[in-house]
Amino acid sequence: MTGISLSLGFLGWLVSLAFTIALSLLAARPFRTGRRSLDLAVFVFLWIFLTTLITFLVGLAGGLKAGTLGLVSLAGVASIAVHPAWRRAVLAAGRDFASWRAVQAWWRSLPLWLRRGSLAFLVIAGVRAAFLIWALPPFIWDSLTYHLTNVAQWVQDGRIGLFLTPIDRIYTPANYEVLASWFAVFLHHDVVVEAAALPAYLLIGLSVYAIGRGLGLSADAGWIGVIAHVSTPAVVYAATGTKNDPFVAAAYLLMVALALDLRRRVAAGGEARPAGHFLLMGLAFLYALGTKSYVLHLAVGLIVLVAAGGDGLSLRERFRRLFARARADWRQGFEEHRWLLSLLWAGGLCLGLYWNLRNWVLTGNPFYPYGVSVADRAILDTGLGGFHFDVQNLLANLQVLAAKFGDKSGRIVPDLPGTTGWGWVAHGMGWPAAVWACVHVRKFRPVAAAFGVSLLTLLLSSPTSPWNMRYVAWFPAVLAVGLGAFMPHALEAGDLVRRVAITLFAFCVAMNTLMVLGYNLIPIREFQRMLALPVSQRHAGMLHVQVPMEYESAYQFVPPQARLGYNVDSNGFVYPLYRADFSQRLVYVPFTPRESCESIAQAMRSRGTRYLFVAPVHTDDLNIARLRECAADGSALRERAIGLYVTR
Amino acid sequence: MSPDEPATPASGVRPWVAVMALTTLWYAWPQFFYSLFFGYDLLRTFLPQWAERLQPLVDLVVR
Repeated sequence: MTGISLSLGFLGWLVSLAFTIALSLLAARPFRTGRRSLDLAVFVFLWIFLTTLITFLVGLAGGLKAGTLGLVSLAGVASIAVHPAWRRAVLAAGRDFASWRAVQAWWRSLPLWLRRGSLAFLVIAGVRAAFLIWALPPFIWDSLTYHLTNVAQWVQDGRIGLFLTPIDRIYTPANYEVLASWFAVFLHHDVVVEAAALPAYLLIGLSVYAIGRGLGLSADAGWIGVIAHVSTPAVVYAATGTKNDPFVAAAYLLMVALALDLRRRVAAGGEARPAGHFLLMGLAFLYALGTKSYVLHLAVGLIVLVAAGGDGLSLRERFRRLFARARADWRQGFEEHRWLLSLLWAGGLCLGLYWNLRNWVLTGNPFYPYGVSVADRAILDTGLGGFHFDVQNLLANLQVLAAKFGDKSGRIVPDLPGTTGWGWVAHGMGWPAAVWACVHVRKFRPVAAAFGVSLLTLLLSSPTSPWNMRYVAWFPAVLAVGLGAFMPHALEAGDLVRRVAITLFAFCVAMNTLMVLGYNLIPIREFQRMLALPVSQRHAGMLHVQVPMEYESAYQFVPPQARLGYNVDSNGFVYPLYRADFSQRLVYVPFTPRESCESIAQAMRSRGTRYLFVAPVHTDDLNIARLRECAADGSALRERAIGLYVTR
Repeated sequence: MSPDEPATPASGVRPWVAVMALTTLWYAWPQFFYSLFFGYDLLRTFLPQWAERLQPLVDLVVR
C-alpha cells in the first residue's frame, strides 16, 4: 500500500467516522431519557447500529471500498451541514453529550481512592489494548476460520456476499463481521481490525453503569460495578479478540438497563416514555439476533425483568400501564420523529433478519449450518449439530459449569477452555456481594432473577463444550452490580473493614489486569518476533500460537498476485492465507484421497491456480497423505515447501 | 443507595467482607500463579537466572 492510498484511506475513515457520529447524535435525540448514563449508552449503541447498517447496505450494493464508503459519508456529512435544523440539532446534541464540565463534576464526585485506582486501571487497559491491537495479528480460532474469512473476502471483492469455501459457518449471522469490515476496508489492512469490538466493550461498561444507576446506586457505587465487570478476563479478551460475543453481551446489558428504567418509570407513575424504550430494546434485540442467534434464549430473562414484581403492581396492571402509555407515547411524543424511527426500524429488520432469511431461502434452514432439536426430536437436522432444547442438555451444561467454577483447571486464555473466564473480582467478591444484595436490596432481586433465567435458558440449548463460556460474558455484570451495591456499605463500616474492602477490590482488579496483559497465552518470544516485523507484514500466519508453520510457506513461496488454492476442512484456518492486506486471491480446491494425482492437478488448473495449500489439523490427514504420495510420484505435483504443492 | 432502601447496619457487612476475603483466598489457589504467567515469562526471557530459582514452585503448580 502506498503512502498516498494510505493517507486517502485514513481520510475516508475519518469522514465516515464523522458522518456516523453525526447521524447517531441525530438518531439519539428522540430517545433521550434524561439519565445521562443511559443516554450515552443509547448513543454508543446507535453508533454501532448505524455504522453497521451503512456498511451493510453499501456492501450489499457492491460498494465495500474505501472510496465508495468515503464518498457516501462525505455526501452524508454535507447533507447534515447544509440542512440548518439538522446541523443545529447535531451541534446541540454533541455539546450535551460531550459536556466536559459534566464529566469533571462526575469524576470529582468519586472518592479519592477510587479516582486514583480508576485512573491507573484506565491507563493500563488503554495502553494494553492499543499495544496488543498494533503488535499482534488476529489469532482467535473462530476468527481465523470464519469471522475474519468473511471480512477478508468481502473487502477483497468490495461486496458482501457468499463465496465458495468448506467453512459452512460463513453462513451464520454476521453483523459483527460487517462492522469489522468497516475497521478494515479504509486501510485495506487488518492492523486495527482487532479494535472492532471496542465499541461493544464501551457499551458494556456504560450499560453496567446505567443498570447500577437504575437500581438507585450512587455514582461511585455504579462506577465500582463498571470497573468490576470491565476488568473481567472473559470480557477484556473478547474486546480485542475479533469475536462477536461482546456485541450480544452489550445488546443484552443495554436491554436490561432499558427494561430496568422502564420498570422504575412505570412504578413511579410519572413521565414514562415506554415507546422509546420498546423501540430501542427492539433495535438492540434485532442487532444481536443478526450477530448471534443465542440472544433469543437470553431474551427470556428480559421478559422476566419486565414482568417481575417488587414494585407493588400486579402483572396485569404493569402491562396495562406499559402498553397504554406506549400507544399514547408513540402518538404524541414521537410525532415529529416518526420518519426517523421508521427508518431505524427498517434498518433493524434488515440487520436482524437478513442473514437468517437468506439462509432459509438458500438452504431451507434459517439457522444453517446448525440444526435445531427439541428433546430428542430433530426440528431442523443438518447433521452438523446445533441447538438442543433439552433438560438433559441443561443438566450436562450445569455440570460443565460446576466443573469450571473457580477456574481451577488452568490459565484463563481467550478461548476459555475449561474455565469460566470470570476472574478474581467475580469469584472473589462478586458472588458474596450478589448474595448480600439479594438479601438486602429489594430492587436487585428482579435483576438477579432475570440474569439467572437468561443463564438457564442459554444452558438449556448451548452446546456442551469446554469453550462454551464465551456465550456468558454478560453474566458477571450482575455480580459486579451486586458488588457496586455492597461496597458503599462496607466503606462506612469502620476503618478496618473499609481498608480490607478497598484492598481486596484493588487486589482483585489488579490480578485480573495482570492476567490479561499478554492474553495469558502469547509467549514473549512471539511478541519479539512480531515486533521485529514491519506492521504491514504481520500476517496472521506469522504468529505461531494457534497457526501452524505451513502458513508461512504460503507467504514465502506464493506471489501475492497469484491465485492460491487451498484445501482445509470445515473448521480449518482460511483467514491467514489472505495476508494482512487481503492481497492474496484464494480458491478452494476440493479433492478426495481416492483421486488420481493428475485429477487433483487438473482440479487446481481448472480453478486457475498452480498452488495448493494444506496444513495438519486443518486439512484431512488422508488428503495430506495423498498429496505426499503424488509429490513422491512426481508426475503431476511436486512439494514446493512444507504444506505447499505445485503442479508440474 | 436509593432513599427507599432500608439502610444496612454497618456491623452487618463485616461478616460479608470476611467471606469475600475467604472466597478470594479460595480462588487464589492455583489461579494466583496462573495469573502471573506473563510476568513469569518476562522474567524467564530477560532475567533467566532469577526464573530458574522459581522453577521448583512452577513445577509444583503445573503438577
